[in-house]
Amino acid sequence: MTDGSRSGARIDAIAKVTGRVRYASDHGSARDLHGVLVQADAAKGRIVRLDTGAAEAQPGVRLVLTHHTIGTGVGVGTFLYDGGHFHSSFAPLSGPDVRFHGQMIALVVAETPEDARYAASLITWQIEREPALVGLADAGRDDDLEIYRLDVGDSVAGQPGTGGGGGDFRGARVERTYSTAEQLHQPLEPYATRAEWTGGRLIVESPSQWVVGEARGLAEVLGLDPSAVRVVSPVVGGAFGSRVLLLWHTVYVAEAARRLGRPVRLHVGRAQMATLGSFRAATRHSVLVEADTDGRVTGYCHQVRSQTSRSDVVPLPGTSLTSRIYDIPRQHHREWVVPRDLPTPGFMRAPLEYPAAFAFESAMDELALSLDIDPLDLRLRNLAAPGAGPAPATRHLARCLREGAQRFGWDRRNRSPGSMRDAVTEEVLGWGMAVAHYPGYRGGLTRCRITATPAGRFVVSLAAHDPGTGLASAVAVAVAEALGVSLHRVRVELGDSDLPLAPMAAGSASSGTAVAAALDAVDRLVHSCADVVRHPPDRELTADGTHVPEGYTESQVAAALDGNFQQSGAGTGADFRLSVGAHFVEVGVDVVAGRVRVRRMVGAFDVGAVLHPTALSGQLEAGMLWGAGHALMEDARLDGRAGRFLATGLTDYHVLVHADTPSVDVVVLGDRDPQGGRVGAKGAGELGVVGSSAAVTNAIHHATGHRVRDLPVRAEDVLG
Amino acid sequence: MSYRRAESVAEALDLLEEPDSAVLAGGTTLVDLMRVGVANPRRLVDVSGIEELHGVEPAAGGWRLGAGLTMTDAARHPVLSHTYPAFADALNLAASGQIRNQATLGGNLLQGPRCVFYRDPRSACSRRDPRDACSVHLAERAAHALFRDGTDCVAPYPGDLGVALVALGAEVELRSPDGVRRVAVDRLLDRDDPSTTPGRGEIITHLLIPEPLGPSAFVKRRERASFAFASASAAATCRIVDGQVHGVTVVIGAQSTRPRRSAAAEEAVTGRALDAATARAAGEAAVQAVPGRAQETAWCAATVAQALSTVRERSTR
Repeated sequence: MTDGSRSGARIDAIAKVTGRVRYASDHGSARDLHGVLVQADAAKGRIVRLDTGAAEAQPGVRLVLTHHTIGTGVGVGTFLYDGGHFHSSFAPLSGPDVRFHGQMIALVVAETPEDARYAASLITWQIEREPALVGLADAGRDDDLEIYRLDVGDSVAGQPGTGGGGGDFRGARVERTYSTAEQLHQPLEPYATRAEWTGGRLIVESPSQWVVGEARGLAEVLGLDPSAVRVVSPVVGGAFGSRVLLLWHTVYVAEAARRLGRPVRLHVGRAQMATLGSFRAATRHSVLVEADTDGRVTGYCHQVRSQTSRSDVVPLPGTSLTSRIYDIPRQHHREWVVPRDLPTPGFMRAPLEYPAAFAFESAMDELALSLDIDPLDLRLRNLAAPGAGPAPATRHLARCLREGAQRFGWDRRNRSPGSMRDAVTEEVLGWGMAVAHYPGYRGGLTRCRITATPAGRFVVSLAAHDPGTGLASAVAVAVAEALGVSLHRVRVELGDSDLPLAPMAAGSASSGTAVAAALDAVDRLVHSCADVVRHPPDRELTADGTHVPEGYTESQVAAALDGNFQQSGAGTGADFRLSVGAHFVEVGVDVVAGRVRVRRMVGAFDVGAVLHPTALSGQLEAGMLWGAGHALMEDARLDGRAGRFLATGLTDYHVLVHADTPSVDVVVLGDRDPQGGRVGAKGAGELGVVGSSAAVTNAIHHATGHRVRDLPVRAEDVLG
Repeated sequence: MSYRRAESVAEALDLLEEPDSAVLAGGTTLVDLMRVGVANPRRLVDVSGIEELHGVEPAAGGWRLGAGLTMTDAARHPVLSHTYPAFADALNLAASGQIRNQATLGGNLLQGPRCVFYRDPRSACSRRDPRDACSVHLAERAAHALFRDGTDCVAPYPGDLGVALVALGAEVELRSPDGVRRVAVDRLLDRDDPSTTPGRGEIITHLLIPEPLGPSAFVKRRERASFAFASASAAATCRIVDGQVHGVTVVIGAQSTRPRRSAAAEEAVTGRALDAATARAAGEAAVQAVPGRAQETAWCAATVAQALSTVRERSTR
């Protein structure tokens, strides 16, 4: 590692790859009791019998929490969109209702994990089942709830709902449906929780993307003063949105620890995880795009349906974003959520952007083909003009498109499908491209403390999180540079709700706000003691920094200080901040065997200033690869009859393995965002996955002439 | 539940006399099934330390291998991989390096189906309990296996090694207190015939692979490039004399509850020169009896053709 340099590895890299890092499950004491969950085997119904007698009679068993024994200690949990901190408003042990397959129905607590597991196996129950609906296509649309609508300009001939046909339109028109499957986050570290009541406080250790929010939610639901709860999460083994909100098993583990007066820990199994938190809902899109004979897109209609649960409405509308980067005079968008007998879905990397971009960037490829225009050229012809959309972003997008194309060698592409081959492997080659975009959210109120120690070190502390995104590294490097000290003199402390306030790790905004707050703390430290670098203080010297995002109101500050979710948006009109990029993908298709291999990926991105190049390229590269995995294999395989996910463990829920991983080339423009304040960064973490799947399926079409509109790709989609 | 470690086959057989005992070798299948509650043995007899189960020795023109060899050790054996390329292909394409380091040959052969419902004790499963109805959705049943074996279960045999061993004409040696018997791998994996599946108190001690017919190959299609069960697989071996096929075995994997020998494919190449066209014709013959399902049959046919083409390439080396 180069001292103080931005080009080094992440500061936690060595500890992680050598196994020195201690995850939540690695902590604990000999006094700990162990929990095991029991989950429902029906998607909808009522528990009419739940027999825990045999389990309770087992030696070593201390408590079996069920809806019979939960009592009054656990109150109401408030869902995020209702202003709370919970993944779902539905408390699974609040009554006999079963609302989804895999719902928690009991928590067994015993002296050892073995005792608990055995006792759990002795619990029997009967659920009076009702017919369940889980799939998007499983029934009519009576239950659909509209969550978004946008109407710009005149109606588009033939748009859904107007009843008319295409008329005598001259130009090209594409009207298609696209869909994406239910997906799981599958972070490497499973959910885990350890709760201990000590010194009048509840201490919860759990991998989290929002320690402050989880602490606040726990206080509310357990009837405690907010100061009486501390959530600790120094290390997070991947998250991708799975750990942004308080999950109910954490509450019940804390309640069990309170009743028993001893620490309780719970390690959730891989397959159990699928229904304890959120998932990425399936989506179905109906898209209409039309262009005149010059390749100017004149109309765009996009309708989306996606699942929500019976308990909560999760609105994640993405069509407004696809429409911002292109200058399209007539647009009509509608989005609905469809309540289903499923766990509450939620945020998975680029939750709004990923599905909409797959559908729209696929439709753009189809439009280019019917206009006989190069798909890259079609994008360039339609970028929003300055003043019409987020002007700086579209200017950068043109550069991304051109630089990415050059790096990829796009000009050597033969436009005709099936025309390019690898002479050695006999694969048919396909080249595809798509646009990436992600809003430049301004994040939340962030505070940071810096402590200069007598040993000449600087400890930077804030309640932020680094679930592998490189936030800790970005903060350390920024502080070291600002102070002019070597990196080894800086230590970063994160993931503890007792530390200075930081927001949820969400919206690809946390590293930027954490660096901004840390730089403010450095300023204040140097202001109070100019010589602090060369002459370490006799006693610890601290300074507190604050970053209030642009556009944040006084009431938002108050709400954030109270531990609530408050994120400043990406702006409006021409000031809308947007990170952008361009994907270029080469696939090789064995049309006889029906096998698709991603051989090469190039991504060119604009994310504003680069905070940590290694972490950034890791984020973008992994996002691009994840998009390829979304396209080729990821599917929780929702079974309509059983009302459950069939693929939950890593054996069945396939993610890319190293052998599937092609060469990935990431280009970052690196210009500071002029609207980005002192730090100049825009969101980067979620950008890479947006559009990547469409680039893969567009490439498959170029190779085979087969258009894949439903993800993931199946072998039969590409057989010759 | 008790755990006992056997030092010899005789001791293991003694320990297995206890009702509800199970043989524990690598544990990659059994421990998994115990975790999910599908296997509930009262006694585990660990045979991993029995030296006799780890040998490799020439026998009657072929080779006799200890059933306790790990997949990794077997795949690395230079003579075996040279003599039986299909055997090494199947081992190297199976599971992951970590699992191959742990799993044994005998255990691999007897691995259970990967069906979600089979592995969930709270779901009905006709495989676990013949009184149950199969939980696989009617519409999806077809997608599970191209070929039906007359049983209700549609979960395909998940293994790779078994497919290669059937093609190579291998047998297993089963030992019980009553003595030793030999059973062809083909018969071992036939669940309908209890006389050829290991009985209670019986252990697979060895694999016997006869003198090779000629070069062999195993090929596998899967959803991703590693660590995935086959969506289609095939193994083949041929004797080629004066450019003509004189004796051939073709086995289709992952499409029925056990590896399925294809007489039609064998017939299509017998007496002919093995080239790309006859390999393709054999692939098509292999799936001819399957009505509809054009796409699934296409890749099954392609896999058979690829196995035969690989044999041809190896025969000219």
